[in-house]
Amino acid sequence: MEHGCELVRFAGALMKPDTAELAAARDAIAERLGPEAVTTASIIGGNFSMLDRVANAIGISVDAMVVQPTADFREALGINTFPSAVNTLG
Amino acid sequence: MTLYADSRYPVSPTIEALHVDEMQSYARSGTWGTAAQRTAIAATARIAQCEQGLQESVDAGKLAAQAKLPDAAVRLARAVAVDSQNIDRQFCQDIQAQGVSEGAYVEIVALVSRLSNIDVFARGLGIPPRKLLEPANEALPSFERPAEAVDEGFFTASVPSAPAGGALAESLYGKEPAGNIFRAVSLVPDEARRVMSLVSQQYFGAEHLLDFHAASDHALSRAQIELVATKVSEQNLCFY
Repeated sequence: MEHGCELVRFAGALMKPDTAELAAARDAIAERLGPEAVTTASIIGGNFSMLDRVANAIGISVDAMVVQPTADFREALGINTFPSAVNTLG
Repeated sequence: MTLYADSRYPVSPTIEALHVDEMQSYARSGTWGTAAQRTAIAATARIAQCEQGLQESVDAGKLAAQAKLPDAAVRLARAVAVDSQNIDRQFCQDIQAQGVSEGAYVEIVALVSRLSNIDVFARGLGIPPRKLLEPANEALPSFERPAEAVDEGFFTASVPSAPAGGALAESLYGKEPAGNIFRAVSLVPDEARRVMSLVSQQYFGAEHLLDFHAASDHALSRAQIELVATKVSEQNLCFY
């Protein structure tokens, strides 16, 4: 994916205390994708920080229509080991 | 002076207005908490984030002390802020056994989660967290629990999609089945409306969630957006 590495670096740094790494990741996005991309990546980061907390704290399960189609890559990515997986997988 | 005047990166008037309203919402009375209690919950969450090095101090201590919160409410606010991945059904039951009602549990989860939205956004832009407002009123909470709410298998009750959820469900989600994430905090309808409004204006509306070719004003492609979302959710150990 185009500029995928920069975006993954930024999204990862958003959730960690290392402000120097976050600043470097932000600058890389601004330089290579433009300043508006920093804003959008930050909006999405905030939005999913919210949704992740809601999902984890309310214990919602993955919607039934999504469970089977995602089985192969959930296993491959190790997502099934997340504590909140029990809310779907039992 | 606008909310994001200090940002080097452009913030649209739509997002700015949305976030101004969000900041005001923490300082107003809700369904289960007074304005002072909700402000104290927000401040408590920020203190926890500061302790983890995830944001700088914004004088939250004074606001956190303005209302005497039950220990269980403080524990819940801190857990949602910095340790939501380890919240399980037993934790939820323990919090309620210690005096936080089911409705208050949902309201605190939603409020702290919405605050995380604002705070992570600011962090992404490289600006300080926006200053929390003083409690705006002394109105009592309504303590209204929707009669339509049932056990749908989540930790807390929720309002099912229409037709089972009746007129309330239609007002929240429309007539189509709503995904679990949209029903999650519906035990407190005002919080559910806020979460859905944020998602639809910051990400995609429910009608476009599975339409990967939908047009948007975002500066990233849908694939790039999903990459950022996935990485963030991986960091939060969110299976959903």
